[in-house]
Amino acid sequence: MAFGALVLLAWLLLAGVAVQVGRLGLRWRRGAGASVDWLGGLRALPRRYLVDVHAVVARKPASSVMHQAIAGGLLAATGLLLLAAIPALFAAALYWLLIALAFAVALVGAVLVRRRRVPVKPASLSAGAFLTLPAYLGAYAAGGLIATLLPGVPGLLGVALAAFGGIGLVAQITGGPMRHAVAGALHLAAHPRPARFAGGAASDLVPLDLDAARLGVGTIGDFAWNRLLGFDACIQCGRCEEACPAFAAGQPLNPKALIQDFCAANRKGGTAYAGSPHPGIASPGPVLGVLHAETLWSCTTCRACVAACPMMIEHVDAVIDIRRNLTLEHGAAPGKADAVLAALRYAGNTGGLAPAQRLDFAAGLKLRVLAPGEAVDTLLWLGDGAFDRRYGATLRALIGIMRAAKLDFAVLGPAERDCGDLARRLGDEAGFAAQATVNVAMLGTMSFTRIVTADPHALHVLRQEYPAFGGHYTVVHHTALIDELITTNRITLGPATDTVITYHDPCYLGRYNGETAAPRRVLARLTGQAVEMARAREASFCCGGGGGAPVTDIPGKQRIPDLRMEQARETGASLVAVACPGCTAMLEGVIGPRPLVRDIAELVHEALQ
Amino acid sequence: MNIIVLLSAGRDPQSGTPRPVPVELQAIALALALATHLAPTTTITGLHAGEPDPSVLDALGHGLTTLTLLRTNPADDPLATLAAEIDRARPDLILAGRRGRGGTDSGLLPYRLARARAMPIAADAIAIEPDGNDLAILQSLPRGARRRLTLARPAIVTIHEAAPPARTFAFRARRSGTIHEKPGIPAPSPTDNHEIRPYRQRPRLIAETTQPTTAGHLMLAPTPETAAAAVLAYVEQFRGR
Ligand code: SF4
Ligand code: SF4
Repeated sequence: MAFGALVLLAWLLLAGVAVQVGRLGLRWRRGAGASVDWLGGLRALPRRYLVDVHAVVARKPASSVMHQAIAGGLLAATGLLLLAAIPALFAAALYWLLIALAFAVALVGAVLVRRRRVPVKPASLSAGAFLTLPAYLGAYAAGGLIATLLPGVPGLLGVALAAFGGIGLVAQITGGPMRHAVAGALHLAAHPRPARFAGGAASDLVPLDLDAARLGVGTIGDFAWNRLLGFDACIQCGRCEEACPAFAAGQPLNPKALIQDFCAANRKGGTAYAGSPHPGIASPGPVLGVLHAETLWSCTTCRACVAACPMMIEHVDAVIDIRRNLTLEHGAAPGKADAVLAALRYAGNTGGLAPAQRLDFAAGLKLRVLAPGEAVDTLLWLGDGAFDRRYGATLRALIGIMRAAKLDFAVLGPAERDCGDLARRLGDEAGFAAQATVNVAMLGTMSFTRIVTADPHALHVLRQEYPAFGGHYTVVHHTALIDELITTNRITLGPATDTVITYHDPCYLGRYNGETAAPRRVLARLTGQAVEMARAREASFCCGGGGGAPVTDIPGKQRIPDLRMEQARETGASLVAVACPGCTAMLEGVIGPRPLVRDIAELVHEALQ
Repeated sequence: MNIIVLLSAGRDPQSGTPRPVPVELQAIALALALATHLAPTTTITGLHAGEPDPSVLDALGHGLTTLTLLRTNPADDPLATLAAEIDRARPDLILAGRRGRGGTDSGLLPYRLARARAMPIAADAIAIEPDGNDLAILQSLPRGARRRLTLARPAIVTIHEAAPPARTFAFRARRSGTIHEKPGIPAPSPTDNHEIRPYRQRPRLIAETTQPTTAGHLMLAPTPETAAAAVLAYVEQFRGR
């Protein structure tokens, strides 16, 4: 009796899930169109879940065990129950034992789910419906276990208990925590960046159609439907919140609340968000009817949230989509953004300086300036950092190293224009497209085998974002070049010192382009005492200089570079090695006693023999 | 009310690429501010005689919705073309930048236009408000001084850099602005018969002072207190003026 009732319950629950998915589907259909390879996506789904998702989840082992127990137990038990429609299985004692086992595992999982918030709820976890979740999970698992083990009336009571839990869980699919299971699975199949599961960096922004009726995202329905689906996959685990430098600095941005704002904008009513808010700002705001523009302008586009998210949600794409609307349609980028974007539009560099000044740092170095029609092996892309005297010192060191290695190299000089990174992150896609078009055309008149740059932002744009504008180049970061010159014995360094050095990964080199090994190999040749900060490599903490944040300058309680410098201090290092003009400027701007900040090129140049 | 903003083909002083003249963008912002005081029928039109230079078209991104482009050879004298358009459009107010920006412009055009059409002209405005049938102008004078003027319409007013900032650039507005293109009147440029000579620093004009100059008082290494007392005593003279 109880067995039959339990199987019936499983089928009824499945029907309930189907109804709920249909209701969610109607919600996602409000989004704009997107081309999705459903077949490929569904085929890749198990791998994406077991490999890619698991790699992220496993960074927190306790959460990983919890999720395996609850999701594995629940799915196995329910799946097996559905199979009981086959009479031979229904009659097999071993089969029911298996189901009991799965329910037992799920019950353990339910206890672990409860333990996450009881007795103490960590700040990054949400309350609200999440507090009732363990009860439903526990009821379903315990009820199922009782029904499979006990005969007669107790068994039927078990079915009733399982029904209570199961119905509660299915009801939570549209508005509550269980939505993540359905939306998460579909999101993995219909992910807007499938290349990220194929081992690609896939961190490039996609060009915008500048003739479109609406530029960027101005209402929630302007998001592609699979983006809306992605937002609904959020399980409010708070990993993005813990990773976010803007949140840590008390700026009005919490990436988790941001994603929940999008979910709220796409539904009427439903359970209210019960996690930590955007610091220091009252919700809701005017953007999309839910957000404040300050929230969007606080983002440094560091991608720490994206790298931390087990649901593979793309926060930065969403931030940029809305910024594009604010900037292109309303000219609403705050702070110095309008002046900087105008400087870029008309002078070709963000400082609005004379193009010839790009070579001022190299006075006396007699650099070869490549002219149209000429050829060289290595093209040195200087970047807008060249206008800054401090970064000029780094570039001089790099040029010294390249000369010591007798490389055949040249610069573009006054013909070089800013790569457009700042314009693109500030949402000025038109300004970016203009820079990209001019630069690609100019580079097309010369021949070279590779581009070397000391600016990870230029590296990222030239390598990953210019292909969409017809520019395909081999782009090498200066730390990778130096690593290559050392391993091929083109340069020799003096003996390693015992200076305690810690390396700060630039977001656009490490997270955006996966290059974390070469700078560390170089550093190991310079010192025997390289130490790591708690947040390094893919988990590195931004310097605060990306995404135009220094230009929009949204105030917080603290400054991001101060937080990062504190993390460097904690290692006991006397020197922070950097590899980016932005990081150099941000970290050197930290006042008070602190470790020295030197670019890897400067350290190597000093150690040259 | 019908407002025309004269636009020149500006150049970025650093790179030499086409760039709107900042003070003309401020003129657009002033016109927009004035329009909020007036009937909703107020029209604001940009006016340029020359080629469709990107610098002029970019003004559409800064709050201007309509632009009249009178096609002439950029080397031509635009006076006749602009005067004819003004006769046709009969504006109540014409706004312009206050000086040449280093191209072929001399900064004299607004004055030549005023003379050609016998219109009053006021220079260096930082605010304009309607005053009955007239216009109340707040004029910027050297060293931060301000002066109020009243002008009868129609009038030409040049704008000072101390006026409120220009509207920020919005690509969407730039893209969707309306451009009316018409042929202008060919006119050989008078620049050909200008005398060209090397630049020479002009002597500074020293304004005549109404304040009788008093003998100075030289203090050698005074204590902070005596120095402060001397400064205070000096400042006292001006009290209540
Ligand atoms: S967006 Fe991702 S990381 Fe952030 S709370 Fe949601 S699931 Fe967790
Ligand atoms: S990209 Fe960085 S700053 Fe922006 S929301 Fe994500 S973690 Fe925060």
